[in-house]
Amino acid sequence: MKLPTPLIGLIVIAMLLAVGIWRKKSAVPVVTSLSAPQVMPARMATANGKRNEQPKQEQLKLQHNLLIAQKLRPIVTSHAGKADKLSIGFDMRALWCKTGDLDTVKALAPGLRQKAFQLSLETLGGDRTVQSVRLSLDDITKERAQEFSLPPTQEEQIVSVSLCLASGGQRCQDQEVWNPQEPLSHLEKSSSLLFYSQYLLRTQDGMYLVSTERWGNDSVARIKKTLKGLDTESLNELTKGFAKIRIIKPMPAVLSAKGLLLPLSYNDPRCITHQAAALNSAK
Amino acid sequence: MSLNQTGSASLVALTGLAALAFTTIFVSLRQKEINQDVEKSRISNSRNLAETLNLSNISTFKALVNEAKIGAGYEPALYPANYFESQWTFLKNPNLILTHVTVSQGKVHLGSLATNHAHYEDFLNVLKGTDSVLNKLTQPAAVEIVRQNSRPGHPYYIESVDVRTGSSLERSQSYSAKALNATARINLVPPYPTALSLWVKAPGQATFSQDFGSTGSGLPAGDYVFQVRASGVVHYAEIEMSGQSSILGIDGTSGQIVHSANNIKAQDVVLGEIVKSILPGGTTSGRAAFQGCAISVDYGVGGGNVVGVPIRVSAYAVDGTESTGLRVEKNLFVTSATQQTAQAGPGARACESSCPIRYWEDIAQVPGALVTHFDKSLLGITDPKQLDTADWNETNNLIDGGGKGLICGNQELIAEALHQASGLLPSQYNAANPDAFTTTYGNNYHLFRYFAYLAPACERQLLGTRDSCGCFQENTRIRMADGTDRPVRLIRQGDWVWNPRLQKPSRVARVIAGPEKFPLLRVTTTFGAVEVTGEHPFLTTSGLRKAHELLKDEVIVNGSQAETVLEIVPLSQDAAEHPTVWNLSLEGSTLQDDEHYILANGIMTGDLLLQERLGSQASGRRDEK
Repeated sequence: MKLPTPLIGLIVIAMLLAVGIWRKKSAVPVVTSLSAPQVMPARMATANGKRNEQPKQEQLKLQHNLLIAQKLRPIVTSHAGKADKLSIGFDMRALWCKTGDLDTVKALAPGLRQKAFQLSLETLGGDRTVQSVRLSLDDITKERAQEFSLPPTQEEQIVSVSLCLASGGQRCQDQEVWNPQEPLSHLEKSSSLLFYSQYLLRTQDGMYLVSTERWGNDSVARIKKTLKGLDTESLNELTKGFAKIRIIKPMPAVLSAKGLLLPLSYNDPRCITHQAAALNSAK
Repeated sequence: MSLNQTGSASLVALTGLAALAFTTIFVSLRQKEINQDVEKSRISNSRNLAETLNLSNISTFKALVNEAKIGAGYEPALYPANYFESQWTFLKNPNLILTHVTVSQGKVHLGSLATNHAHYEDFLNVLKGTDSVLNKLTQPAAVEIVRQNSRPGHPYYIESVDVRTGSSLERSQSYSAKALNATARINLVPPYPTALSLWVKAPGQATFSQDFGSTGSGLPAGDYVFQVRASGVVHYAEIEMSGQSSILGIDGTSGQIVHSANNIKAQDVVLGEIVKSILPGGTTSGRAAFQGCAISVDYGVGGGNVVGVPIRVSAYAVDGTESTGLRVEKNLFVTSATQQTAQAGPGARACESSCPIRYWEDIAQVPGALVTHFDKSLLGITDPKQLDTADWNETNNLIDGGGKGLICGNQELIAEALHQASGLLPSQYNAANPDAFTTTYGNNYHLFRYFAYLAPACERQLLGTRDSCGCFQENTRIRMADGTDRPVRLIRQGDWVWNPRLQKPSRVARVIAGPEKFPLLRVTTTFGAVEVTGEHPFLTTSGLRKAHELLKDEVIVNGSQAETVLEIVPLSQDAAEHPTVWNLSLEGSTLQDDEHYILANGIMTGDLLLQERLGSQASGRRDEK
């Protein structure tokens, strides 16, 4: 059957209309950059979150102040994700006619670029983790700063910062200590020795330098009173650590805008030269 | 017309009508769609405008709470009334007129544009200059801090705040008027202390003053109250005196901040006070005095002597940094004059039993006991205090003068010198060569250090070290006030010397002398040469430097002129030779370095005070407490 031409035209018009009515809506652009969905920063909190966090923040403030009252000093750290990033550098200091830790390093170094030394962060007590970096005499004398990344901790920790001569993977804190009052000629090059150490206190929120200048017999008791979560084993190790400090007598670490600076002292070469000349002339 | 023809015409008409109907429906639906799109555009524009206003409000708030140049310095226009509170209440900086800003608990209301008045046409009069843009800010917009973000490890330093604000959307057909909220994070700089001062209340005084006495007019011994004040936002302060430090502004039991230096406009706020008992002759200790090569401990007793007690005060900001530019360093000058008739009374020798002291008798009367203790000291087994030996002469002098406690000498450094000289433990050295041991012991006796254990605390405090004295080779010629030169060994307290820095005479307050075991340095400049110990201070164009830190071609300041360092050469010195070296301390403020310069062999150098200050800035192995 052949359809009449007008009917064909009618059907076409109807189809066109149907397509026009049912086609996809909204050709007008309505989305602009300003109306793009807002993304809240990760740490941005809701009002409820704010209420929950307030008591914790106030508690942190009080604890922070109590540690400062005990002469502990907050350290500036940076953050990579949730980890604390701590920069540790060196600071060479000339002494006039006194040997220092850098003299010990030089006496022990097997060569300029051999990485025989270890700068390490070691937790005392607990899981006794070690983070270390191998250093050469060249790295140390050029005062190259080293960056350590410390995973977040839920517990208070005491961490030693040590410079020692040790094989890779060993703990500096387990090495024998070097008494700087011994003549350098008594050093054995193959020895494992601890010759510089400082201690840090880590809390959930930050890091503090435990001053080796202001340590007293009651220091452990006071720290224990403030940080009740600190385990006895850590405190005992800290007490032992300070017994080592009394022998190695390190210059206290210095807080810098970037982290920590470990002062390494050395005898001014001009003094050494002329003391030797004087001894020769006396003979 | 046939039936067929009639039917065809009807069909055409019907088709036309249908087409017309469909066209009408199409046009109607299309119009509705267009209307909806127009409405959406209006909503979208309104939303965009609201968001723009939100951004504007946030930007305005950010500008208000961050520092801007205001008057002589940088200050924020809005600041927290108490920075340490967890919910800030803002105050308006009185140095600015902020008519379109009001503050209330936790919120700041800014004058903002209404969304229906933020069009170009509304600003024509502003553009023409006949109206003010401030008049357009008719819509109050609240900005609220929803969270303070502290820096990890520094809970008092609010590194940033998260703020929320909202602008009304324009009423439309399908939207009721409501606020469109926006949240943003605003970084903040930490506020710092702006001033720091130390005040003192001497015994018998009712009020605090800044009279710390002087070398010519000392204050009486007794109980002193020290008060530290500061301006701006201070976390805490630390005061150090006689090797002991105290934290001020924090309650050591509760951890609470107990001062009100908590906003940028806080002025001269008391951070805290401490009470110190200053014994005759200075603080809780005496001070070593040098007479030729002999040492005597000066308690300021019996002679009207005046002793300066160094005090240092530091202020710390919320980010943990010390405001070094504000550090206060003063001397409290104490005289013994009012204590001469004082009686020590009961407990004068209280420290005899309470302090961990190995008495001289315990060591000296047991053969070999001294060297055994030397050995233990070198091996790090013995606390250095175990080499403190009671000095009964000095102790009796102290008690006779009205003091309480015990004076001891410490031999730790002598033990070390014996070890360095022989490479052996002292006991081995003594056994191998008793004569050499005795000679070396005698040669190093100048390393003897005095410590005081003073009641009631009985805490050990260093009095002075004999080997710290001296600076110039004994024949160094010092320019006198009358223009003549005189060897340093002939100069005495009260003489007038020439101060090349200030170009005026200065009076000598103290002369010291003592043996030097290390080689002297000859510093040669374009003005001459002078022989000094390694620690002697010189003023260079980059600050005070010890002699051994000077570099060739470094420029030394000499009065108003400059001289260049040509050479620094250590002098040959026999190991057993300890030439006597001398130094002077000039009268003048301890805070004014310029009052402490001497012309030695034509070269300007610092005096003893500058040497001691420079020495105290470097911590060394000997600085342990």
